[in-house]
Amino acid sequence: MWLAQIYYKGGAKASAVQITIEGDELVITSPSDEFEPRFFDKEAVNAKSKLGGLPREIILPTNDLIIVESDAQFDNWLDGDLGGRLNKLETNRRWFLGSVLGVPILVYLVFGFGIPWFAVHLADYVPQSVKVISSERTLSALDYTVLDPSALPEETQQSIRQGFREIMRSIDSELETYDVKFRQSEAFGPNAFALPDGTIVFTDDLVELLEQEQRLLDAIFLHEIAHVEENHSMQMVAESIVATIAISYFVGDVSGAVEAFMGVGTSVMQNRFSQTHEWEADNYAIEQLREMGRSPQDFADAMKAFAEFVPPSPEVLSWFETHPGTNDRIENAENAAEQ
Amino acid sequence: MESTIDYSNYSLDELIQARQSIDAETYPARAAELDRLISETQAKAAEFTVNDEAIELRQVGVNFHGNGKEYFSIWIVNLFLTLVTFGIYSAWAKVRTNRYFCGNTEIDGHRFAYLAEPIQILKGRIIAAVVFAVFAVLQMINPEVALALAFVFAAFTPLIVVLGLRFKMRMTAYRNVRFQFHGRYGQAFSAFVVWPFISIFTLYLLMPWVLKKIDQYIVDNTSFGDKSFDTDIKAGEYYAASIVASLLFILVFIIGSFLAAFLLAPFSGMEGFDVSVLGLFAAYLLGFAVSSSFYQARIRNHMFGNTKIENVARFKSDAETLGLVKLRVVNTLAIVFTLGLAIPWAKIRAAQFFADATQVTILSGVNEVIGGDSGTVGATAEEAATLFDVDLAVG
Repeated sequence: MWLAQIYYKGGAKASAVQITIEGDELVITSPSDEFEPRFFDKEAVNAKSKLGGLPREIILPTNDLIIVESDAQFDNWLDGDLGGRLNKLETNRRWFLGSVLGVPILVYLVFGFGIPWFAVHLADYVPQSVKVISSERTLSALDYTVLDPSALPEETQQSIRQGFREIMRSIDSELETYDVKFRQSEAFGPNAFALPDGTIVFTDDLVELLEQEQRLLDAIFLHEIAHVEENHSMQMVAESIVATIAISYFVGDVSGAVEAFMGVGTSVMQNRFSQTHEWEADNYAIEQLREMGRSPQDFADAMKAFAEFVPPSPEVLSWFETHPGTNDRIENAENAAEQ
Repeated sequence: MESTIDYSNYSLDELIQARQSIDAETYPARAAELDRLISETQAKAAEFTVNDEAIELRQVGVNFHGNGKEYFSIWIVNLFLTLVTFGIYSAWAKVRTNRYFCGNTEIDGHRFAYLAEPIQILKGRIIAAVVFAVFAVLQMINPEVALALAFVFAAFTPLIVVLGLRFKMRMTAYRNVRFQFHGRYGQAFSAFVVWPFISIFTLYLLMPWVLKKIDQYIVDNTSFGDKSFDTDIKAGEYYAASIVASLLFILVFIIGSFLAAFLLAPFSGMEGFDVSVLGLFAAYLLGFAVSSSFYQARIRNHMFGNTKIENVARFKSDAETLGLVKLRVVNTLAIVFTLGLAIPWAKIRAAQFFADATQVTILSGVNEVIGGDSGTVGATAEEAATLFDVDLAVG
């Protein structure tokens, strides 16, 4: 016999009852004789699955609710041999230990490999027309905010573009042409960036820093071409969307400061992804230089010029950088040049 | 030694029941005591009926029965299942988590119940993920669209709030009676979009009043069965809380920064790593913890103290700022240093803290509460409502 509460359908009224089991029947009796004993077949009652030490909730066919403390004998009758499966997993020592070990490993695999892999493949489905719209809008937004028209003389621009023709002829690309643009920007300093549709922007500062030396500009150009060829920017977009959804799914709602730390975790992950892209682009540039009969040293020299202008940041902070350390990149290119 | 039973907590029904079951010849003193209490209570009830107010049955606390060890095991196994099913199991995990926290919260001998089915949650999550992905893609691909999307979002946010609250309330029950939320979209739009937008032009001076309006909208539109929550909160309290919270933030941040600079000075020579940035970040987080705890405790206490369900219950909260600061700081540190493994422990601690800080006065009308919509809403409306019975929040 168990003491229980009955909650009558449709209202907050409750009273104490006693329940007993007779074979496959649940018997409910009222100690204050409010009603005659009631019998319910096990098949007819609907019990919520067992969870921790929670009292059992049983919905009767009459839609009244019975709540009774959890108890091994009663649980066994209610759930049968197969019942309470989830609860068995949740309280089983093996499952517990397996999960404690498995969760960190799976989190590492999912976020380290699964999501980047998924993002790379998802990005393949972005059509060229979308990339074109996206690039045009991005460039006009940048023009409106941080970029100004180039101050380089028209002849300089033309001669650099002319130089790039040779590169474009030698690479194997699905794109008909790469559109090279020049802009002046205080915010960007000496820099170059690629838009997903094949527009590649050089800042005046970069051209001046490399003293208009075509072989260095070519090396940078190849690096930017790699970002476009490998579809890196679409992959970054896909990765950040997928990662955001995944984090909310797996961890659920966390608040305040914990969220701030999760934000740090996400950006570290994104930076790792971005650093991988930079290495891919560097190696593509090195490879293409070789195939054209030039030396990967061109790329190393371009990076050296860059390093002189922007002193490399300390190793400790590499997690917080989107690009690999400049010294490592120079070394990588020089090693390739020696081979 | 016969009259040692304390009848003072008995309701009128219980007193009458006790009187009927007692043998007046064996226990004359008890019977007399009961008769006296019955007539007193009846008189009191009559008096209160004139004032249209129920009598106080008893004052009780909120008891939370969950424990960290048990919940950790549930949490980690569910997380494992979520990971191996590529997130699909997360709907089941969410239901079990909510059932655990609701079912372990008890007031006056009765526990709460969480009634949602995992499939409903899964549907909601799929919709939310698709909507989020579409918005995110459009926004990142085309910055111009981002501006247009801001307007779409502004229109969507109140809808998500209304649907989310409606789902949450419908899926929570106490004593077999569901809670309900019947706030309208229009009011939500003005509370969550229009007023916050206007407050920007007042340099946010209007914001505490807006926050009060939001809280009022949520509480006043919530009901327990057929009995509505009723709140009488004051904008003045929100202004006081906001001003003190802002001052606290500035104070803690300044003192914290100086202290950090002083304590970290010996390490400032470390190679290429600016430790003072870390010090400032810590001071900022602490300042935020203190000021938001103060605000939350004060507003919660004010809100609970001025909220009631007519004839059913009155509420009281005595959350303390320092207790809340301690809870948050310890929880955050524990979660960060265990790389998240302390999340279940932290959630249990938070639930315990807020349960301990809450009291409820149970009024005699509690037995007369009738379960909400059954019979009052037409079949089609009900069907349409369940169509939107999805938890739209991704979290």
